[in-house]
Amino acid sequence: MKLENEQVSILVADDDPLVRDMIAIILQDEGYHVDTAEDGAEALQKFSSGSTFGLIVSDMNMPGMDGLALIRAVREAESDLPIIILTGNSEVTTAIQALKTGASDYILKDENIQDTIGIAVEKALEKHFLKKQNQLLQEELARRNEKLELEKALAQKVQKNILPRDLAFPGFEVGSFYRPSDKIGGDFFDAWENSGRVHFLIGDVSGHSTSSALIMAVSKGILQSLGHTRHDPREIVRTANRMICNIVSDSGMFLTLLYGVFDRSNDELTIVSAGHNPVFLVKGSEVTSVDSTGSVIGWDPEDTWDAATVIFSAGTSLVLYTDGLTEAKNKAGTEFGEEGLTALLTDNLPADILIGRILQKVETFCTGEFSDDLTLFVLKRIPEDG
Amino acid sequence: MEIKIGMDGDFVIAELSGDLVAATAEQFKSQLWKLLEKNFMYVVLELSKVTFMDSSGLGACMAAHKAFNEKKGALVCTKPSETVAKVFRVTRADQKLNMAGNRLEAVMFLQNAVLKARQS
Repeated sequence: MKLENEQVSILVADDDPLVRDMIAIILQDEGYHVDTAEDGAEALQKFSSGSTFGLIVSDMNMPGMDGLALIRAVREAESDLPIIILTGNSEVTTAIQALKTGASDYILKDENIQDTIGIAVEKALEKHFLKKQNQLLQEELARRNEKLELEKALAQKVQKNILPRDLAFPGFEVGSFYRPSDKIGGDFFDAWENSGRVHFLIGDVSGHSTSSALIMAVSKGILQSLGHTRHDPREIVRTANRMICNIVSDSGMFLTLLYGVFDRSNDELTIVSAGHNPVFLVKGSEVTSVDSTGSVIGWDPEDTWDAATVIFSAGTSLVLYTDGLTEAKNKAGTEFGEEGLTALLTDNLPADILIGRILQKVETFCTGEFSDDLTLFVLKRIPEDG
Repeated sequence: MEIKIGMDGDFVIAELSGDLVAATAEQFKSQLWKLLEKNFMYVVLELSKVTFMDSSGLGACMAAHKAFNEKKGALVCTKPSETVAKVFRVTRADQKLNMAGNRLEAVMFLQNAVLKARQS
């Protein structure tokens, strides 16, 4: 958008008819529409009458209402209309006062006025135009941000419903905590029982943007659907990987996933960890870790995974988490780390109490500042009759 | 994050320093894509000065690896810092990316890649 002189009306106020007419002619020659006033009062009356001036050029000293009073009156009417003050050589101090009162610029009534007035007007108009443009863009940005935040809040609600609530299985205590770094995130977890086997999973999609949230939703759907018809976690993860590779394509995005199946008939827990951070089995003061058993998901459709099998006996807690927990940093930049986590796992506590304890420690450690999504998911086996 | 670009014979040496994370991953990708656009198809990525790499950073490395493969070029990573090596190990990225122990091995890897490309 460009400013055209013909579109701008300028009001020239000066009690000296010679100066007034001269300025008017100069500005008309530049292509502006010009109206004139004999003093401040008439200028204010014309300004207030609804005329759409783009700028006022006003003498400083006029009988009745002078230039300063005119500036004040215009500003009191909450107008940011540019005002250029004309002043004699001896009035520089007053001119500076005019600038402080709200004038855009001042020019001296001297032999150069023919040149200076045109330049001053052009500069003032351009500055005003840019200020207006900037204001409009800022308002547009604020509107868009507000819309985005509303969308995010809605997405947050939807995502919350994708994640399970009140998980409960006979013989298990289940506790969970989920907090995305910014309303929506790429972490997920779930568990369900299928023909005497408890399936559970925790996943972490790379990044924590909207695309992470989309891939999280799709991946969880795929895994849940596969997990309701199959029992071998290697097969479930392999099949899910083929489908997810199609979705993430060559973006480089991926997810780490831990998928476990607990068989009630023999207490065996079979775990596939697709590049996920080590998870911990805790019994009394004994902590053992289950490390990654293969690549992350989403990079190669031909990938396959090994499985780790452990006995998951009563009294044992399985602590699953995403790296937002262990990579939480303190002010010195030190990570909470796996050591920070395992040091808390020595006691045999109920699942939700254990989660509360871990969270309290990590929040104190990083003074509540998390840059990544954080999920904690604890499954504790309790005797069936207990 | 900073990327220093230099040459070793016919090959580009891109040395990364600082954090390769969500906030810098796009800058990293755009620099490597620019190399591809200018037909620099064989690049050594030196990672010894990378102080931290998150999942977005790792994703960017993998995307770059795939982009070079796609264009029949090659990207080879060398000297990962301890923190990067750990991420590569856990995610098995070290089995997917081209890895070399040092600059010399990386250059030899690329020379082989060029030979193979000429033969095919």
